[in-house]
Amino acid sequence: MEVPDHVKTIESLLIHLGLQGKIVVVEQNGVILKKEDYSAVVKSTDSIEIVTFVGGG
Amino acid sequence: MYQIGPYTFTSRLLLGTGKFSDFDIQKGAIEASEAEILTFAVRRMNIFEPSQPNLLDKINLSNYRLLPNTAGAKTAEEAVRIANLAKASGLCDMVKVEVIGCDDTLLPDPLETYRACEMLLAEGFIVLPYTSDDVVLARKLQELGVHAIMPGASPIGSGQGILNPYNLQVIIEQATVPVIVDAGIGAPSDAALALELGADAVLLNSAVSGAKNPVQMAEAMKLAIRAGRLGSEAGIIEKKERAQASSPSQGMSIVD
Repeated sequence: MEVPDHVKTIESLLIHLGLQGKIVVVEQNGVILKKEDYSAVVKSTDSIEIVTFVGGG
Repeated sequence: MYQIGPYTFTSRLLLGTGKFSDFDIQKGAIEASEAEILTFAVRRMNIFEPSQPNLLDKINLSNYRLLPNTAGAKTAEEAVRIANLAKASGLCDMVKVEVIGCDDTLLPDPLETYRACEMLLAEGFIVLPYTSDDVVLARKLQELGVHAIMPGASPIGSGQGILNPYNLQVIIEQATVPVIVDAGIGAPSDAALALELGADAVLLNSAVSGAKNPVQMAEAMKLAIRAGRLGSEAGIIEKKERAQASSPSQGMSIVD
């Protein structure tokens, strides 16, 4: 997925995707990030996984 | 009241949040159930439609203890990954270990479930494994240190009720942690029976979300679970082979 140049951190990526304030968990290159790690720099080669909670039993 | 790890609960109904037709019905059912624990699943976000409504937006999460499941996992490692993703939300530290071993019956894989529990306990999770109604597995998981056992009544979503009350009763009798009957409950009487057998609680999803009127079914389940528990505490009489007159046999001369 292409993102604009101003998206440099996980935090700005979430804002770009309209996910700020939503319940999400981010995995960067297989490492699960804590909220305090959202200032981590995003590179174009990174593999980013974003998960959320959905209905389930 | 009963305790799971450090948490104490009054409500003996745990409600799953899957397969509700709309969020308002789901919210109504949650409220009518008076559940204190809600289960949910962890899934990849659809980033192309981030505005898609999410069930959790409608619910005040601080009123509930959240129990994520590891549904989708087929190995212990996958279950641990899902559990860690859920925990990273900062919203929960309990996990329902669900490792399916058979796509046809959706029955859990006992070996992978056991391994997942071992790994998750080592990582400090409050661990609630969903299992079949296997008596020995329940005991071994308990010895491992899980915080509750969740034997299935019958296959997930089948609504067949308690297929093996004997096994369930033995699991309950030997349990040193709460027993939560999970999966397969259909009618309120199934839920009542689980509590009558001595289960601490019942986890429901399809029985409520699939009902014609989910909100009313949530209420019915709540009452059935309360009735089953009250009955169990009150002490149910033993079944006897023959009739036992409930009126006295003395003073019969008045009808001679």
